[in-house]
Amino acid sequence: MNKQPRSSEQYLRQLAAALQEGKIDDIDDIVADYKDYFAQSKTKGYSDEESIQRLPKVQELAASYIRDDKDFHALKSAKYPSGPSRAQRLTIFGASLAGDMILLPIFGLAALLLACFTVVGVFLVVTGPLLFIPDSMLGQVDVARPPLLQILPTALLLISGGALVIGICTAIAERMYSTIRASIVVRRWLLTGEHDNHLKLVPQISKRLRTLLYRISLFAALSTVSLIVIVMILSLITAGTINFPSTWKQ
Amino acid sequence: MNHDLSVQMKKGLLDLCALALLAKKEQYGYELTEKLVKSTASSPGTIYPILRKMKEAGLLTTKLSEDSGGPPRKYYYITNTGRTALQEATRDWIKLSNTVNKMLEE
Repeated sequence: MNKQPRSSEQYLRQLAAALQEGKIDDIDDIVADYKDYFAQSKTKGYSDEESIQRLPKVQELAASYIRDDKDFHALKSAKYPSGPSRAQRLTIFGASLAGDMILLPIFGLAALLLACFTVVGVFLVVTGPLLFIPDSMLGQVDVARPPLLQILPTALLLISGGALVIGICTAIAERMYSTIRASIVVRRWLLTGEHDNHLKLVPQISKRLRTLLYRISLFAALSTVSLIVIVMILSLITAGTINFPSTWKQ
Repeated sequence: MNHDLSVQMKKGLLDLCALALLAKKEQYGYELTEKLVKSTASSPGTIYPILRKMKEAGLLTTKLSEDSGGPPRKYYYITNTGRTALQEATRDWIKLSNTVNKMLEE
């Protein structure tokens, strides 16, 4: 007798067991969909029993997945009779290792350069505000301190320039990470024949933080360019290269 | 109308409806399922397997997003293959519905 479970936990457990019997590959992914369904339904005010009522019986639901899976594999094997053999995969893997000998040092060097540039970026960002430290806090200083109006554009240039460098380094590092991740996924498939498109090498920073970083670097890029233009115009004016028309002065 | 026939007809159109919704904008799994449940009076248990089948066929792709602060949410996106399939299915649907409408008017 197939009685409907009374709680979402029971439903999920029974579903996972039924799918396991049917030898479905991505059981966790399927169960996660229904876990999310129960969680969201709960936030909308539905009880577990009401949510379960909207679903088919566990065995029926599992059977639909098992049937789909069989159909899909039958269709796939009819369309693609067989993938590359293990020997072929291992040959490609060997060839790719030879490629790695050339690419790895280049990637290593690029990573080292990125790390150096990031340090420079951080240094620039930190140096900007340091320019405002009053003489009294620095002790005996031999160099005459320039006026604040001269320090301000320099400090802003340092900060925005540094932020820009960090932003560019982050973007390049992310691209490098994706490339390395993709190559590891492919190599793993070549070696074992298994796919794992969700491989995470390092804990990923949230999308919101990444967007914020890109926005900061974009803002930094724009302010760096505008500051350079302003500083150039100001220095040309003070050097007397640009003369305002006499009518302007009146 | 025979209830079974109505259910089967709606079920057959779920793929097309899902693609049409996703062509406009990516959708969170639960949100997409609820829209389809409401518009086709199907069960969520019918829709999730269809979405999975469409993903395996390369018509959709999913991405986990951690934006909500809670557990990661699965978002569905239409692929280029999905867009092509949608165009073809839309053409077929218009043709079929015209033919059926003519038959019904006769």
